[in-house]
Formats: sequence, C-alpha cells, structure tokens
Amino acid sequence: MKSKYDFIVLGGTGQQGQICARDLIELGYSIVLAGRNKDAVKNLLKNKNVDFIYVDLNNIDNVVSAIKKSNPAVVINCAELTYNVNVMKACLKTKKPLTDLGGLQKITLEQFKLHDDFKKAGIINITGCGSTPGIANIITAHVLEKYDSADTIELGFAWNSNIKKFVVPYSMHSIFDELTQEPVTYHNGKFVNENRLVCTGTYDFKEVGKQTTYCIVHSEVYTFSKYFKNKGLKNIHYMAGFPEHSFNVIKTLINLGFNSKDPVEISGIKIKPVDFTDKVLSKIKMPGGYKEIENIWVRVYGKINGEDTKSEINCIVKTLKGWEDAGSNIDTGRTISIISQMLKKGLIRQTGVFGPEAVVPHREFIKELGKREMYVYENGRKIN
Amino acid sequence: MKFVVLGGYGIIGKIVVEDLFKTCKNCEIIVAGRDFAKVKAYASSFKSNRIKAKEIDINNENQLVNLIKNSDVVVNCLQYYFNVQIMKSCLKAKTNYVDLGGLFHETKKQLKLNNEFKKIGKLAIIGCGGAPGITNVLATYGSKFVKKISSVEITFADADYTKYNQEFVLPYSFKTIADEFSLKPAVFKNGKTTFAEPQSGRKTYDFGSEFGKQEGFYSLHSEIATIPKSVDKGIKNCEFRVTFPQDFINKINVLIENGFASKENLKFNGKDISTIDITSELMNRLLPKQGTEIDDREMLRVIINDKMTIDAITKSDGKNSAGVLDTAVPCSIAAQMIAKNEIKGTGVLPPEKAINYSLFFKELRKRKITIIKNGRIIN
Repeated sequence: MKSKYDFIVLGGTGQQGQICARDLIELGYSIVLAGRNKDAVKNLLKNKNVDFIYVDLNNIDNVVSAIKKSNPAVVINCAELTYNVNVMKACLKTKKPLTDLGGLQKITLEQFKLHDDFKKAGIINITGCGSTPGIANIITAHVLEKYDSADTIELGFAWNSNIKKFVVPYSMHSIFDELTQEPVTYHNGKFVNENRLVCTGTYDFKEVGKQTTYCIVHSEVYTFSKYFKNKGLKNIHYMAGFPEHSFNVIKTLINLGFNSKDPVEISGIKIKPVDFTDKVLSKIKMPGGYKEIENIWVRVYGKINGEDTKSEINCIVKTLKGWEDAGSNIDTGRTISIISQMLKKGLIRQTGVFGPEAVVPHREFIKELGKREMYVYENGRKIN
Repeated sequence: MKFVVLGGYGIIGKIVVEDLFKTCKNCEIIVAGRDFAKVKAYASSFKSNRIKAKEIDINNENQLVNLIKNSDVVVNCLQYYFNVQIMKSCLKAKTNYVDLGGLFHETKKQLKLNNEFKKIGKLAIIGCGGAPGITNVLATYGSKFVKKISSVEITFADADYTKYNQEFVLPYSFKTIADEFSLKPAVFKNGKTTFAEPQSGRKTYDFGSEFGKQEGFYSLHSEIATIPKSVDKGIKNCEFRVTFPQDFINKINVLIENGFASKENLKFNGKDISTIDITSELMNRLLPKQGTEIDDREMLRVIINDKMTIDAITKSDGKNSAGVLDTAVPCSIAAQMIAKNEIKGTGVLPPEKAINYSLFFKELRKRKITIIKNGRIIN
C-alpha cells in the first residue's frame, strides 16, 4: 500500500466500481479498490497504481479505517444504495469529500439531512453521479439555463439490445425497488403517489425506437423540485423504459416473489429470495456480439423570451469498443469517475450535500462525456 | 391384507392411504415416511388401528426390507428417483409393488427387473397413476377397436374454477415441471423411439366443452416406453404432450432460461446449496394454499389414429385437485387388485399389460372418474 491515493472506490469489486476504476486507471490515477471479493478484480490489480483493501460497508468503523489507510483525495461510493448513509458518516469522520450513485427517493432524503454536517465539516457529498441520476441531472441544468421559466420536466431512460436475450441491465436490487415501490411524481407543485398504470406511455426514442415507459420512483423528482424551484417548476415525471424481452423477465421474477426481502429458511440457512435471484442472474453471460444502446432523455416545457418552448435533450450511449462487457453501464461508472476527477481538480468548491445538477459545471462535464463517446443531443443537434 | 405406502404423507401418498382405508374395509395400512412426526400425525388422524405410522429412511435397505416384509403390496409414492432402489428391496422382501411412474428413463431400468420379479412369483406394476396409468389403460382399450394403429397421442387438459387467493398458482412440484420443460422428450416416430428438443412438437388440441382449445408440447413421459409394445398392431407413432396456459409457460421459461433450474451449487453462509433446490423451495410456496377450496376438472385424453378419443374426466373433491385424485386413485385400485389376486401375471408390467380394463374402469367410476369414448360415457 502507498501512503496516499487519488481515490478510494467503495464497492470497487462490483460492476460499476470496476467500470469507474478502469476509467480512472487509464488516466493514470492511483486508486484503492475496497470491497469483499478480491478475486473479482484480479485483472485490475495487475496495474501498479491499483491496490485492494477489504471493507465491510455494514461496519462504519471498518469504512473509516479503510479511508484512513488509503488517505484519498476523494471517496467514490459505487456500492448498493443501502450503504450510502454509512459511507457518508465515515466521510464525516475522516473529512473526505464523497461522490455516490444516488439513493432513489427514500435514501436520498436521508442523505440530504446530513447537509449541515457536511457543510460544518467543510466537505461535499455529491449524490447521484451515475447516468440517471447523474447525466440526466446535469443535462437538465444545461437546458434550463436558457429558460426564463419552466413548468414541466419529463425525463427518464430507455434502452435496447441487438440480441433479445436477458442480461442484467443494472443492480437488480435497484430495479426491483424501482418497479415495486409506488412511483412518486411532482404534480402541480406537490409530491403525489401515482398509479404506475396511469403513468405509462409509449414513445419513440432516438436510436432506441418505440418503447413503453413506466413512472417509477427516482431521486431526480426530489432534487429537481429543490434546485429548479426558481424556474417555477410545477410538474416532474420520471419514466423508465425497458425493452420487452428484459421487462418480461423482471416482471415475472417480481410476480413469483423472487424479489422478496423476507428470508426463507432452506437447508437450515436463512436466504433472502432477492439475494438468491441476484446470485443466479449474475451468472448470465452476455451472448457474443451483444450490444446495448441507451438513451437518457429529458423534455422541458417552459418559456424562453416569453415564448412557449419545448426542448429535448438526449444522451446516447452505445456499447463501446473495448468496453463490451460493460454494455451501456459505462454511462454510470464512467460518469462518477468524471465528477470525482472534477472534485479532485478543485472544479467544484461547495460544501454540503448536493445533487450534481447544483454543483457540476455542465459544459465541462458534457465535453468529458464526448471524450468517452457518450454524445449529447440538444433538440437533435449534437453538442459534444 | 396389508399395504405399505412409502411417502404416505406426501401429496399423492395421503390420498392413496385415504382411498385404501375407505375402499378396502379389512385392510391394514402402514404409512411410512422420513419425518416421523408428520407420518404419525397423518396416520393417527384416521383414529383407527388399521392404520399405523412407521419412520423410514429409504437409503437404509435393511430397515426398508424389514418394514415391507410380510406385506402384500408396497405402494411407492416417492419422487421417481428411488423406484429401482425400492424395487430391489421388494425383491429381497418378496413383496408386490406399485408406483406412479419413472419418467421414461427410470421406467426403462425398472422393466429390466422383470425376470427377477417373475422368479419370486411377484408382480410390480409401474407407472400406475393418472398419466402414466389411466392413460396407458385407455390406449390399450382404444386399440381393441381398430385393426391397424398408426398413431397414439396422449395429452391432458385442465379446467380450473378455483378462486385462488394468489396471483400465480403452481399446479404441482416445481422439480417435476422443470423436468417436463427441460428434459429431452422421448417420441415414438415411424416405429422408432427418438428424442426431440424440449418443448418442441407444439400442437393445439380442441378438448371440447369446458376444456376448450389448449396448446401442448412434447414432454418426457413413461407412456412412450411401454405403449408402443403393448398395443402393437403396427403402431408407427406415439406421442405425449403436456398442456399449460401460455402465460404459465412463459413464466416457467423465464426461470429455466435464466439459470434458475440449474443444478449448480451456490454458496450461502459458506454452505453449498443447489440452485434448483432453492428455486423449488421458493416456487413451492406458490402451490395452492392449504384450505383453498379447489374446484377443477382434469381430462386425460388418448387419441387413436387421429380419430378416436378416449377420455378420463376427474372432478376435484374440494380438498384435492382433480390431478391429485386421478394420480392417487389408480395406485390404490391396482394395489388392491394385486392383493385380492385379481391379477394373474408376475414380473414387471406396465398397467396396460397387468390390469383388466373393465374391472379398472368400474373401480374408477366408483370414485367418480368417468371414461368417455368418442363422447359417450362407457363406465
């Protein structure tokens, strides 16, 4: 171990952690991967700038000691969202700035309660630094800059693959949470629980094609209402779009109770069905030649120079050459890498707890996306 | 007369015990199973000294031989994996034997014990439930009416009126369903047994009346191992198809295609557990909840030469589904026929070879299972 590293990546042995790590390593940063399964990162550890440290995120002291040992400029949390608050507490104790991938609605709200503590400690937590939340928030801020006022924002993601076989799209825990918790939308200036069925629609998405979308609970609904209040924002709808072949598998597993968190005793061992499901699905390999395409989209309805104006901004992400195993997940792991680098370089100076739309310089960020072949289109025109 | 029912507190075993108790007035029945508390609880619920409980470890041969010695018939209601093993114990104990079928491959192995059973002068009837079982007898019965047989098709359909308190219902054990969906089915084609792709041979049957049209696909079943030989008459094709609602097929396939029926071990708390064992445990929670008032009908159908239909229709009794009843009842009937010396043969025989159909149909009728040939009730 060195005495100082540029970054520590918590959940560094998981999919997003590894994607983020690779992005950082290729730029020459020194990092520590923190997790439980060292075997999973054998290849990354061949690099001289990379070390591994065992960490149990259930145990805050354990996280504190891992951060102290690696003494990083920034803590990057790529673990499951259930650990977000634990990691924040560890950062408060070590006074290290933090980025994470977001906490859906519930945990995000918990995280914002620590705003004053972070401010007092003189550090920042940027929460929701993946694709969505993440890219979606920052490109929204980019579009909104031109608006005098905006009353409605619709946003979400849609994706598809060339081979219609189920491949785990992103954290199964998150997907199950998103699709089973009652969706929350911001409607006429109030948060309301929406019936998922009322809130479906079929849209034609750039590059992805026609897809049915469902309202789901997501942190953007909360953070947009907070940061874009000055624009007179009244309605925010978040919609998820899965291709039929993938949605069918997820829906079936939910229908059969394979997403349940209530432990079942099998051969004397208590097993949560959702953990079992996650293990089984993690063995699925991408078929040869499998490619994904994702569209992170935002539609804004408001006024520019007094005129009703609708804008659409999209970030299109395709399976990248050399990153085939990651599919379109590169837009999550590589995004948290970009934002963490900006923090380290001193491009973000605020203290407290923030969504990325409030603090990340959007022009520079969009430029960085472009370098990674994640292209942003504003009303159909490529801007990076 | 004395019967030993192995797996006597299982879904099927329970009904076999009940049927033996009700229809064989002076018979003694031993309910045997792995979990003594469960066996005891079930046996004593009859409040009769004709029914006794015994704990049994199937893998302990001495214990098993001692248990079944001096009984007239051993009725095996366990999962089919134990069939040959248990038959060997019957040979040692010199007892007759009945079971629910061996899913083709086990059936083939069981048939090889024919000479040994002959030598001791005892009879083993294998595959004597609903399908296989009733279906086999329907096939030989129907074959009487034609000179030449080109094809025998076997299938079944369900009509379910139960008001379930659950969104999804698993009709029977997940492992059996996973086998039906993923093992290569045996098909007798142009006079030869071949193995087709799982779920191939899709065909829609019109079962008429309340059963309607249902799509079926080939599935591995033991009928194919015996019926072509039994009916003869130049038979060219013999096929077995299972039918399920499309939505059910889709859901089971989601599990199979995504690795949930794999036998690979997963580690939990340092312990290895096979994937399918966990899936099975999770899925079996979706069997009809106890206390659900079951209201369904099952039709077992044999089609001969694409023309003649012979059906067996069973109705649920409120507690048990039609599929459970028509599986359990034939086993009890056959066991009693053996014990009463109503069957002359010895060796290992499929039901269609061993059982007199008119006697069998009469017994089924007593239990409200009707046999229908080309739309007319014949029992």
